[in-house]
Amino acid sequence: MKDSFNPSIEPPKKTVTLVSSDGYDFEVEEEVALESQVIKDGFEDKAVDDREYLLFNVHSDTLELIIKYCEKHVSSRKSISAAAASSSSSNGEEALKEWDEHFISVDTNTLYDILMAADYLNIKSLLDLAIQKVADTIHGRSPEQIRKKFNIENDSIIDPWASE
Amino acid sequence: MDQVMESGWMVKSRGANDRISRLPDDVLIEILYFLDMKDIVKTGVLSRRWEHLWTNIWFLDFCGPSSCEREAREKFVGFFTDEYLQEHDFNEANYWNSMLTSPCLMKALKCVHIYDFAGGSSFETVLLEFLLRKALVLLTMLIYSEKTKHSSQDRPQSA
Repeated sequence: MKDSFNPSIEPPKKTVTLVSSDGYDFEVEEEVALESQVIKDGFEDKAVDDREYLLFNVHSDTLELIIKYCEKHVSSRKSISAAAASSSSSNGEEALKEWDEHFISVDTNTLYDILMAADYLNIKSLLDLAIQKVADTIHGRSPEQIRKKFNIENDSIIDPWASE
Repeated sequence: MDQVMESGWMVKSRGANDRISRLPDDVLIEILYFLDMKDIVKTGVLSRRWEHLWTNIWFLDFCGPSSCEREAREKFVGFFTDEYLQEHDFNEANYWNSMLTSPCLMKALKCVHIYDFAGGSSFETVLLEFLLRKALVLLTMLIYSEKTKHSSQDRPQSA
């Protein structure tokens, strides 16, 4: 109660509910959810008490990672611009890049899940990060090594019309 | 019968692990934009799914100080000449030929950057001729001379 007289206290954060494909609810801050261009588009048209998004293509395991990524990026952006405003030196961008690198160092299955979700939710920076990771894996490898890495079956030499 | 069933199942299970090939075309093509010329073209031999994907890209960058990229660039042009067909494995030449003359690529290619252009060397001339003749929707071609430092701020030295 006492806090309400303190002008520096921010009003309670608005939240949005994201529902994963396996039915779990995730309550996140509005600005975190708005990292997704898909949610951002048409967000204002949605009634304030109806801000629930059913994400049919995103499993809860992946959604948890996506939210972690968006939260980190929202908070980092704030601290970077705060540091810029006070003209104090900061290595915020460097630190965020390092954090991203660590974040995307996952097994290939998780990487595809993140890639698909970032594409579906249209989170450009995360999509780029995941795509860069796949490209790094392809870079400099022989076709056979790439196939092995991604479990790609070489079906191009099999000709169904070839005589027996 | 059992054997057929078994091998059928194995093929299926291997395909099931191949999640990258099930990504939508636009995402896979986006991946290609993060690769250099040699790696891009290499993806065309991975499997049928990948065979023609790269021919959808609209930007080719014949660039970079690395010899790998130069090799890719030489191959790109080399396959037009008879010597190339004699010197290299036929299948490889055939592959490059079919890939690079693909109507899809020639209808999609809008932007080409050529770095380290020395002028006068035969493959560079062939490359220019080929692009000017075949790349139907080509809008931009930037040619950087050998001495130009590679950076995004560069201006073409000759065009």
